[in-house]
Amino acid sequence: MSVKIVGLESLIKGIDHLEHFPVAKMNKSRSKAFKKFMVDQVKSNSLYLRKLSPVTIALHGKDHPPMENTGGFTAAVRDRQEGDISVAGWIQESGRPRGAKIQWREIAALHITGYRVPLFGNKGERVRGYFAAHGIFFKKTTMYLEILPRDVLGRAYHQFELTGKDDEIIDKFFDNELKVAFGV
Amino acid sequence: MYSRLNITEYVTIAGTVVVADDPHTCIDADRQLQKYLGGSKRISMSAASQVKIVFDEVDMSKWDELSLFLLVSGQATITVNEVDYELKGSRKFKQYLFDCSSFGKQKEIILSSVDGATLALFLPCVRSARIENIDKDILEALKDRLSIIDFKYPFQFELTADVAAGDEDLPLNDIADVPECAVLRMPDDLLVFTNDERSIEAGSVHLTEPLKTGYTAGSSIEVFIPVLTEHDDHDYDPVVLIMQTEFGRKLFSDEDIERYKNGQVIKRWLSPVFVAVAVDCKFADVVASLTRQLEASIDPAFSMILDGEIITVDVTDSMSILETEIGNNPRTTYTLEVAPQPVTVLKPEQNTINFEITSKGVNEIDYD
Repeated sequence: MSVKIVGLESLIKGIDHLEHFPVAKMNKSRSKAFKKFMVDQVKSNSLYLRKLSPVTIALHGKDHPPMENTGGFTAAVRDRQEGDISVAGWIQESGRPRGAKIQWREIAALHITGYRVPLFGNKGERVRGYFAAHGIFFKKTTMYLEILPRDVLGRAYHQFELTGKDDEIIDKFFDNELKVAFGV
Repeated sequence: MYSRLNITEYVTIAGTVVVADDPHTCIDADRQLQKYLGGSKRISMSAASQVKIVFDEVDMSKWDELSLFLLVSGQATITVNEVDYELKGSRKFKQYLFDCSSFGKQKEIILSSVDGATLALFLPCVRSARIENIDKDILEALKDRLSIIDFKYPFQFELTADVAAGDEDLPLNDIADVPECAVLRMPDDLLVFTNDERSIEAGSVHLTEPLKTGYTAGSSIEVFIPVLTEHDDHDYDPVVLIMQTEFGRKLFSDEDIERYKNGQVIKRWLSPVFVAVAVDCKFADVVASLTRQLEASIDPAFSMILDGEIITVDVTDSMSILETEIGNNPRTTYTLEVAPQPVTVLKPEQNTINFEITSKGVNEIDYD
């Protein structure tokens, strides 16, 4: 006696197809979508970042959204494929703004941490001198110039998740593969 | 804002009442927080007993709510502002909120039990959780929480000569390990502040103000690590600095409204806010040491008291910059997601509604 299960063959075929789920391709799509999302959010000033400090406003001569002048920062943010993993918000080690000593990835880190620069000692005098040349003078009793954090990548990633943009891509890939595997 | 009630005594009015420290029954498993709060009080009440909880007088009209966390085994009644409220048994701590804005000056709460009950009382306080203060309250709450960590500077110092009241220079061994703008803790716990002047030849650091008292050579001096928010004067080194990282996010999450049947208020839980905690010092090895101390003292999800409520804070990210990239100090920054803030949005009037029911009678009853 033999038993024939209707549809078993196509089920096995479907499962076999899912075993080759294009994880790498899906993750690449996710990181590319993140990059596009991040740039859009920066352009539309939708990341809820801190406003410019009075010192920066004085330095720039006007108030503007905090990341209006990215100086090429968003272009330096890319993605990198490492096997199935795609690193979103990856920044090339050697990349740096034109004529600058500091690298883009160091700038990105400083965005996350915030930082402060001493206004005393030889270095401090140079910092005071730089600002004085722009008409900005610090009180003698002010010991540090504090730059507060503006975590562009972190906030963009949070928004990317929160708004369901990441889930949309994952769902799209799953739906597509299930359709190919089982015709549903 | 909130202020804990300073309970001075438990006065038994009737029956037998035993009050004891109850460090094992705490609303929160966080040991650091227990250390800070001192756990709860266990109140064992016999049948027909009554106890008066006496605290330093508080003008409650200056606050929005009186808040108590209670775990009740059995049945009891709480009397607040001469009004009785029934407390039903529960398996876990429950928060009781009372609109205290019309209570005036108060200095006691009374617990009564007819059949006997055991209660655990935790964090009695008055609070005002107001939207306009939210951002500042979060930073202050974190400051209180992180201040209980006893940060230690990795180097100790000694006075190399006697100093007298009025002196402005402090002769120390290894002054190179003392950053400019440091806060120093003297042997009598007084804090003094150094500035950027120092004498290498004399091996002394310069103080911002003259000493108020003298100290003998060999006295041990510590560098104190202040925990401050961005709204404080934070021109110190090292410093643990708490800063808000994002602004303008919508404040309400419409789905999360918590109603209190007995507490007479409706609370709304707000969207998370992101906050940065930075450990900043001129010396990278000090930053590394303080970073380790911070990580050993808090969990990736830890608790704090925000406006009189225990809320959870998640550490979502951290980043260290131990190199001086652009003249900056080395620093490690933790990004914290502060889970919703409790804000009272409505205090409905407690009206008594009387229904008049008139029986129309029963004409026919069918039995099976």
